[in-house]
Amino acid sequence: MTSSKHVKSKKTIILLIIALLCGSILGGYLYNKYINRTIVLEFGTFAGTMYNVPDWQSFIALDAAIEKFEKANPNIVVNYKSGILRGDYSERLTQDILKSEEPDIFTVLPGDFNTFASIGELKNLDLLIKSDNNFDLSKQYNNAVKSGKYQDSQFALAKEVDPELMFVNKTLLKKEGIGLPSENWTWKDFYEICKKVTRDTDKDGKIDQFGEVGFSWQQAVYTNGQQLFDLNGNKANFNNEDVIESIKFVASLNKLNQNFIVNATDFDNSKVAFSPFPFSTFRAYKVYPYKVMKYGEFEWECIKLPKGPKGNNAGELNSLLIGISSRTKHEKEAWQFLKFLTNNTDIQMDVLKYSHGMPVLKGVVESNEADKELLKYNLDGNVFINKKSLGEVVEQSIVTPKFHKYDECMDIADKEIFQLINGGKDVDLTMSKLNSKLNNFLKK
Amino acid sequence: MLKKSIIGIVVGFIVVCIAFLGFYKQLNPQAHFGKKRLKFGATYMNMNNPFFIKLNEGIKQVVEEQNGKLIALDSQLEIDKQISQVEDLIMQKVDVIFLNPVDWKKIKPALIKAKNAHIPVIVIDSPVFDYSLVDVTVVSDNYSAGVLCAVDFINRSKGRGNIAILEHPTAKSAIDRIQGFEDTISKYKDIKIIARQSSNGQLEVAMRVMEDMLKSNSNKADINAIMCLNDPTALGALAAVENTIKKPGILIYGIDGSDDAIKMIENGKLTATAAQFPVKIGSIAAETAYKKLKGEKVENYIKVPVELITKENMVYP
Repeated sequence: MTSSKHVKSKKTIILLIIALLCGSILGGYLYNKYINRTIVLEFGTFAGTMYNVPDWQSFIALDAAIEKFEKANPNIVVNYKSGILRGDYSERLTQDILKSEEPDIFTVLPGDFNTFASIGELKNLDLLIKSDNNFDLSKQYNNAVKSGKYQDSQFALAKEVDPELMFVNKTLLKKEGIGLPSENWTWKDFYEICKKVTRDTDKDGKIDQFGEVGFSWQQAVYTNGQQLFDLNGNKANFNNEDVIESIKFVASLNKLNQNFIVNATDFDNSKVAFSPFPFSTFRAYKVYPYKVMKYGEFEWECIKLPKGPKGNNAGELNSLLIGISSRTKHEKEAWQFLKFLTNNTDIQMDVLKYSHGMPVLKGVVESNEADKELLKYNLDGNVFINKKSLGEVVEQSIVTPKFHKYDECMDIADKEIFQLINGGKDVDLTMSKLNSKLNNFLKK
Repeated sequence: MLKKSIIGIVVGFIVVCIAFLGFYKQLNPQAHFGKKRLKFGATYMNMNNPFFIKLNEGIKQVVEEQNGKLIALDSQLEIDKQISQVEDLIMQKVDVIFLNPVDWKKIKPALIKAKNAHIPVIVIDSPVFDYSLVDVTVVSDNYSAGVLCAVDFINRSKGRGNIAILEHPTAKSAIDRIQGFEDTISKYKDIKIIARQSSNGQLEVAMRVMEDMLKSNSNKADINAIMCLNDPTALGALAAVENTIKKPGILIYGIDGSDDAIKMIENGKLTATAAQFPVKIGSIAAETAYKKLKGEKVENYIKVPVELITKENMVYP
C-alpha cells in the first residue's frame, strides 16, 4: 500500500470513529428525551377535607398515595401545590384554567363539576375506560360511577362518597317511651314520632322539644325516589305529583312546630329527635376525639333516612370527584394516576382509615378490614350501620343530574319553596308555576 | 395651513385619549392609575384549628375592604410544605407575606428568600427565631396567657397539686405560654410537674399523648391538672380523660378562647381558657402591612393582651 493510501484509510477510520461517537451521543440524548424521560404530572387539590368536619391527616394519605404511585411508575413524578384552602380552591382552579395553567389532573368540587364538564374543561374518559383492560368500573358502586357522568359520558371518577343518614337522639326517644325506628321505616313512622315528641315540656306555653331539624324539601323529594329534572336538564319535573307529595310532607312536618323555629342549638342541647346527617359527620363525631366537641351530652345513633311512598331509605349522594384536564399533554400518565386513586384497593382502604368519607370500591367496603373499622362506631354491640346497610344506602341514593344550569335552578326553586312551606301557600298551584318558570329558564 | 393641521391633529388625538381613558375608567372603576391591586400571601401552621380561621378572617376583612387580594395557605404542620408555600408566594409576586410559622427556627430559609425578593414579612401569632429577617411581629401576650392559667390553678388548688403539661416546643407562642405558667408555679414547692409531652397543638395528637400519660401514671401520683398550650390540646386532653380514666375533677386549662372551649367551660368540663383575639391580631397585621407599604413608620413588635375566661366570669371574646 502506498503511503497516501495509508493516510487515506487512517482518515477514514478516524472519521468512522467520530461518526460512531456522535451517533452514540445523539442516540443517548434521543433515548433520554423520548423514551426514558420523566413525566412531571401536576395534580390539583385542596388542603383538608371536602366534609364539614375536622381533618388532620388527609394529606398523609395523599402523600403516601403519591409515594406508592411513583414507586410503581418510576418515570412519573407527581407534584401538587399544597395548602390551598377548600374555600379558595374553585376560584384558584378557575383562574389557572383561564391562564391555561391548570393541573393535568385535579379534584373537582361538587359545585364545579357541571360547569367544568359543560365547557369542555374535563376530558371525556369513555375511550380511556373502554380501551383499558386493567380497569373494571363495575368494581365501584354504580352511583359512585354515575356521579362522575355528564350527559351519559364519564368525565370524572369518584374517589370517595358521602351518603346521607338520619341522626337519632336515643336519649330523647327513650325519655318519651319510643323505640328506635326500624331500618326500613317510612315517612308515616317519621311523622308519627315527630308528632308525639313535639311538645312544651316545661309548660311555659312554648314548644321546646321538636321532632326534627334540617329535613329539607330536597331530602323529601329524594327519599320519595324522585328526580327534579330530566337527565340533560332540558325539562323540570316540579309539577310531578310525587314531587308535590314530597313538598306537602315537609309542609306537614313544619306545621307540627306551630311557627316555633327549631335551630342547631336546640339540636345540640338534645331538644330534637331527628336530623339528617352525612355519613362523614357520623364518622367524625361518633367516637373520640371529636365526640368531646359535639353531641356528647346524649346518646345518639345514625340510621337510614325514612322512605316516602315511592322511594327508598336513602337521600342524595355526595362524591369527591377527580378529573383530567382536556388540555393535558400527559393523558396516559394522568389516567394511570386517576385509576390509582379511584381503583386501587390500598388507596381506597386509606379512605376508611384517614378520611371520614366512604370508599367507592365495593370490595373494600365489604372486606373484613372494613368490618374492623366500622366496629369502632358500634361499641355497645348494637349495629345500626354496617357494611351491608352502607352499600344499600349508596346504591339507593339519588345522584342529582348534571347540567350547566342546575345550581341556578335549585337556587330559584329553594327560594320559592321556602316561601311556600313557611307562608302556607297552595302547594299544587305554586309548584305548577315554579315548574313553568324553571322550564322557561332552562330554554334560555 | 400645515401648522394648523398639525395642531388640529394633536388636539384631536388628546381629546380621543381623554375620552378613551374616561371610558376605560368606567369599565374598570377599581383601577387606580399608578396604583396596582395589592396582593397578599398568608401561610398558617394548621387551618384545622379554628383560631387560625378567625385570624385569617381578620386579615381578609381588611385586605378586601381595601380591594386587595389574599392568598391563604395551610401548611398542615409540615415545615417543608410551608417553605414551598413561601417560595410559591414569592413567585406569585405578592406584596406582603403573613407568616404563622410551623417551626420558629427551621423557617429561616424561607425568610431569607423573602428578604432577597424584597417582600416584607409580617409574622402573626407565633414569633420566629430570626426576627431580624422579618419586618413586624403581631402576637398575643403569650407569656401572660400562661401566667393567668397558673394563677387560676394556684387559687383553686391552694398552691398544691400535680401537673401534666402538653406543649409544642417548635412554636415560640407555645414556648412562651408554658414558660409563663411554669415561672408562676415555680414559687410553690407543693406544685409539681410530673409529666410533659408535645402535642403539636393538635387535638388528635393531644388525646393520644394524654392517654399514654394517664396510663403510665396510673400507679404513680394522680394528675390534678393539665396545662395545655392551646384549646385544641385542652379538648384532646379532655377526650383522653373521658375515654380513659373517666375521672371528673381534673382541672384542664387551654389558651385561645375558642367557641368549643367556652362551651366546655360552661358545662364544667374545662376549667379555663386564656382568650386571645385572633380577628384583632389579623386586622392589626393587615393594617400594619398597608402602613408599611405606604412607607409609614410601624412598630416591629405588637403585643395584644389576653383575658382569662372561667365559668365564674364567662367573658366572651
